[in-house]
Amino acid sequence: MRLAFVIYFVIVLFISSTASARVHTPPFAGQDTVRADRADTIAQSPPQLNTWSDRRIVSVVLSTLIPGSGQTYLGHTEKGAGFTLATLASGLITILSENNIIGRNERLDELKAQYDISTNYIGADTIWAKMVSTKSILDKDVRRRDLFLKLTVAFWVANLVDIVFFTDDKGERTFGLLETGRTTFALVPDPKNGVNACLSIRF
Amino acid sequence: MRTKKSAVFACLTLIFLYLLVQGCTEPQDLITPTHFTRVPKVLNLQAAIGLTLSGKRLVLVTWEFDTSNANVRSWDITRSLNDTSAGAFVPLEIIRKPAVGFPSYFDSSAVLQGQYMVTDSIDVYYKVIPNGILNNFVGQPSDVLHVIVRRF
Repeated sequence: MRLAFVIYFVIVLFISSTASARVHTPPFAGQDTVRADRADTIAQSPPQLNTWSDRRIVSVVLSTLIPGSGQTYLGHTEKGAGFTLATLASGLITILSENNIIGRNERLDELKAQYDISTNYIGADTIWAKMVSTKSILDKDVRRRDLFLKLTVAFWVANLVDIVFFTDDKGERTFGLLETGRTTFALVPDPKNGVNACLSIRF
Repeated sequence: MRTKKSAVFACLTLIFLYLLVQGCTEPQDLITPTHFTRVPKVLNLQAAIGLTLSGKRLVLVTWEFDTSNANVRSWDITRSLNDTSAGAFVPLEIIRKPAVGFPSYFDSSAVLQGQYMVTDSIDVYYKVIPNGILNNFVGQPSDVLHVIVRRF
């Protein structure tokens, strides 16, 4: 298991050093931020796979802290959500399994104490059977924790590889504007009048 | 500025991996069980039916134990008549560890005598329980010994 972590560590260090090397590539002017000209459109910038802007660096830092958030920041919301959910779900199962392991270890400690002070064979044998059963469940918890810990690290590393090598910047999206049509119709509940029908046409 | 960010990124990676590896709890191992050997087991539990000099029915119960294990003070003899349930066994006597040889028990109770039997035979079950010296540990009960005593 330690070997696997060392391998992961080397991969992440490699990614980190690659990112550091690419950071020194000077971006061309005006690439960092692209502002929306119109309120109902999303500004698109050309793919920026081989150049590093402040947005790319921020996305890498974000993805390091919360897997998938960097992808979401760069505009790949579905991919980002996938990475976030997968990593968080694996991490949650890992934490739950770890919590179970701590609890089973404490249970084993308690049973050992009872076993040591038992004064008859039948009582000691009953406690021993409980210890064997607890140890069996503990081993399952350890296997589950190791599996999902590896999965968590794998998702995290894949997320970093993806944000560094395979995710382009879709550009900055103006906050608060939705991709709505020119004409919208909605029924809005009103406490005084019941329901208001709202028709909006944008010129 | 960017170099600084990259350094922060690398440090965060290191901290994350360190916490990930060091944060895992090691599972405890099982201890070596001692209750099997704290008190020597009862071995070769046997019985023989005979008569005393006065003509009474006698059941001689003998058993052996591992003499290399000195942690035994005595044995409890329990008996059950026509019933093998655990609660039916009644303690008969405490047999002290003999200075030499192996212990034995002579059972010439009235229930074994023919004149008190209401049936042609009775099933008698014996069980021997060793008692240790250290902590007065009550050891593993022997297997149940089945003896059929017939009316004569």
